[in-house]
Amino acid sequence: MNIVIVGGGELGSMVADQLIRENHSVTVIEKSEKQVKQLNDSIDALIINGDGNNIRFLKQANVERADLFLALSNNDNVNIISCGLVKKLSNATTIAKVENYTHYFPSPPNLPEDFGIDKTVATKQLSINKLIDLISEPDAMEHIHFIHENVKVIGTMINEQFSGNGMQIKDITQGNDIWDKVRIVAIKKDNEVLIPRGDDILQTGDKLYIIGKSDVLKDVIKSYFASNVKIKSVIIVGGNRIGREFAKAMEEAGRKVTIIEEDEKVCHRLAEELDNVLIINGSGLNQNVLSDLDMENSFVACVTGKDEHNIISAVMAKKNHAYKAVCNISNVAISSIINQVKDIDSVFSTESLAFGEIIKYCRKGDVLSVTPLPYINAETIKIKISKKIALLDKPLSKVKFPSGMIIGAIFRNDEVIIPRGENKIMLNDIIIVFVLPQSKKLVEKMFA
Amino acid sequence: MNWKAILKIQGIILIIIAVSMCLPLAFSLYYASGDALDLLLSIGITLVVGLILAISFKPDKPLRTREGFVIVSMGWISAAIFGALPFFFNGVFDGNFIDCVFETMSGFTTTGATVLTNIEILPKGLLFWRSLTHWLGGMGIILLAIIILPVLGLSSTQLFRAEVPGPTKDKISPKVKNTAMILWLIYLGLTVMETVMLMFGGMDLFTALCHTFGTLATGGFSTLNASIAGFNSLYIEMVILVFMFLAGTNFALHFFVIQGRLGEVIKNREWQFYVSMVVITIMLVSLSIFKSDLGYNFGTSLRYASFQVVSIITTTGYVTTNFELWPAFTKIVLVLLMFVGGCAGSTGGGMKQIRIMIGGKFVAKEIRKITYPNALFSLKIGKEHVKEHVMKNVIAFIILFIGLFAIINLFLTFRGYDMVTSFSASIATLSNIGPGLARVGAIENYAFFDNISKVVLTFSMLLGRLELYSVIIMVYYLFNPKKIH
Repeated sequence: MNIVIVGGGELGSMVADQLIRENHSVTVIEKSEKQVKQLNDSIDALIINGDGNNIRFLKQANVERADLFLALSNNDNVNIISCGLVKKLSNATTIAKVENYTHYFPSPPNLPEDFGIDKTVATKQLSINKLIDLISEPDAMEHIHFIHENVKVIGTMINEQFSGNGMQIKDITQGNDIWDKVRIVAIKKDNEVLIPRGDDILQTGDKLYIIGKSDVLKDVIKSYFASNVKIKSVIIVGGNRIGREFAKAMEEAGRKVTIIEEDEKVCHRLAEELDNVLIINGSGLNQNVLSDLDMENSFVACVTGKDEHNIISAVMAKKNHAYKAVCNISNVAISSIINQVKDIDSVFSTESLAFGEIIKYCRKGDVLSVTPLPYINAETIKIKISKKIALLDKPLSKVKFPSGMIIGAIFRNDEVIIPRGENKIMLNDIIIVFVLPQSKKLVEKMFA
Repeated sequence: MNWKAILKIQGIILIIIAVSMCLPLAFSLYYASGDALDLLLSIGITLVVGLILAISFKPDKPLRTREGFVIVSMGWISAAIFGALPFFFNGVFDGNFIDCVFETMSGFTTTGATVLTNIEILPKGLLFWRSLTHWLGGMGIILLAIIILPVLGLSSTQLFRAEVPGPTKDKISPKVKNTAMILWLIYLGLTVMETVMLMFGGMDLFTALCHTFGTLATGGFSTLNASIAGFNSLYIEMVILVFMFLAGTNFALHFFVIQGRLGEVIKNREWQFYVSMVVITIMLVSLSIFKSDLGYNFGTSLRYASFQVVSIITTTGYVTTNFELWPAFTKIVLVLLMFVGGCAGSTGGGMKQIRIMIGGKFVAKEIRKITYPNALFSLKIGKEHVKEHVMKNVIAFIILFIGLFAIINLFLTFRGYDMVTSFSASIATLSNIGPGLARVGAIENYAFFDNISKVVLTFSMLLGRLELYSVIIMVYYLFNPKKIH
């Protein structure tokens, strides 16, 4: 496919890199000259220095012949307008990143289609949904959704009360009603990631990634990993962007919400907009501010625009007895390092969330998607079985799989199967595979 | 330094060289010219070394920009060393390996300077290999490797930028691999066209191919001692002239022509500049030799002048007459043309038309700035603003080019060679032309230089072909490993 991307920042370059890996021809239009130089050195794409909403540069990027147009700059206006311009020039599918979706398209009759946008990626909403996911099941720290809304992967830490401590996986799961319906797809011990085998031993502090239907996963969490703590309050550090919307959502859900915000003007605006939210004008890095709050059993979301600020606030909140602290990071490269900080329970980046969404739209062919599992060195690959391959119609226990992979789920028609040894893969199934990087090539070969 | 990647790619380049040597082997067997064993031995050695390097190293890190430069420069050096093996085994240079490498490097860099005193005694296989090195080096060995590299899972963005000439690297297609493929296909197309047209003029396939390689790569190796003059055919001269001119044009423009975007070609400022420079210098040179006491009529003057001007400006170096005998004015014009060279993105050498344009406009801009101290001027080529960093890069390049020219010149005169010879040999190698003046003149060769000078000149050719920076960066990092951060 010929793909044109407007904006070569954090998100744009991440998407471009992935698409080039998948053998597409990519052209990037980027405004900043410095960024252009960097892109020229790092990715195999045609880089054009210019504005994405200037028709001259769009033509230079050959949008007339593009199959897909992605507007991913940091400016909503540019993204929306460029899609409109491109729609007039070509038949390309247009996808726009719109951070403040509700500003532009609050409800019909204003629709993205009127602006020539086929798909929108509402980044702010993605972050808020993520936060809502995290707070609704505070004992599961990662949530990854797949094709069906009700199938997902959760990540959870084994605590001291876990009944299976020190036992082998097969002893815990075999013949157990709940465990039979889900599957452990990855274990993170210290900083090493394993694809589990039956004889691996689980211990306190291990992080498990489990796939299953949402309701079953809820049961698993409740029976094995819940700590019986009820979240009493929500504390949001940073009242801009995500913070304000999240506060609104939490307020509507009837929770006790506090916002800590440095900028007095922003505080005033928040106070005008929100009713039952306590707004504190101060810094999340200030111990006095934090000790004034009752942080016991609280959920702390650090969502200021600055990564460093978020990280330190989260750690400080934990020192002040917060129950859970999560933070938003925009520099994707450092998020995996931050994940090793024990005090921070979960890290999410708006860019990776948007990346996942966009890549989902861009797929063609059998490999439907490759999503890096958040912050561990493993990937989930979604594969559609459209050809006859050797392992079809054989019980999975009879197939020899490479060691760094596991099949997490099989989608057949509208049914979801969490596979056991006796299940088979059939033609037209969609399967979800978890792989470690070193086994990826083998896996791709296996399903090619 | 990512040595695994560097060595693996060297291996791939050697495999390409080994495979290419099979073509001269075919000719050698066909003509039974007696050099088949030398070629076979060279193919064997190159292939084995190449395979060992390519298979045993598995790069685990992506390439960085500076490693791209090192790979490209080292690639050319290994190509020249292994490409020299057939000459070495055949013993044409009495076993002087430096001579063999000089000749091969002169081929790959499309210089066309020779250390052979009698070309015609060379067996057919070697003669063909000598011309084939031109063809491979003209479009670029690395550019050929780039087409293969992605299959092996290696990224090649860093390599493309280090080998393709010109201050701005226009990719014709978003992917480096596709760009490389398009360029090679155009090159191949032109090769077929010229070969057929030369065969029309009475050449056999062997001679036609050799001269096509020499022309399109802007190289200059011939199969005759007298170069193109030996054919004494106006038709052949015209064909070669036209194709030299095309080879000196940016290959992106050829692509535009294929796409039917003729307007863009005609409006291209560098191309306009190139055409005007060619036309004006042809006028000057033909008038000058017409007026001199050489006894040419106007037609002959025009014929010799046009061929010689195009041959020098595109840095080919073919000769149809001994221009050593021409008046001093024309010789100076030709020497100055040597500095200029072809267009960016062509197979020609030299400083490139676009750099001369930017340099000239920069000077004009500075002069205007002195007259209007508070005014702000933008440097434009056509309607396109030339960015500050491109301009600085061009100025630095011109300074470096002149500086290196001076150093090589000083070295040669220090070794005791006369002024005109040293001067013209320095620029003829640095700009990848081949023939110069005096002892390296149109009908002379480079055989008389001592070994150390030959090494320096070999290096000068490589510097010129890779546009200075790559080679300097490689030398810097190889000899100062402690300075790598």
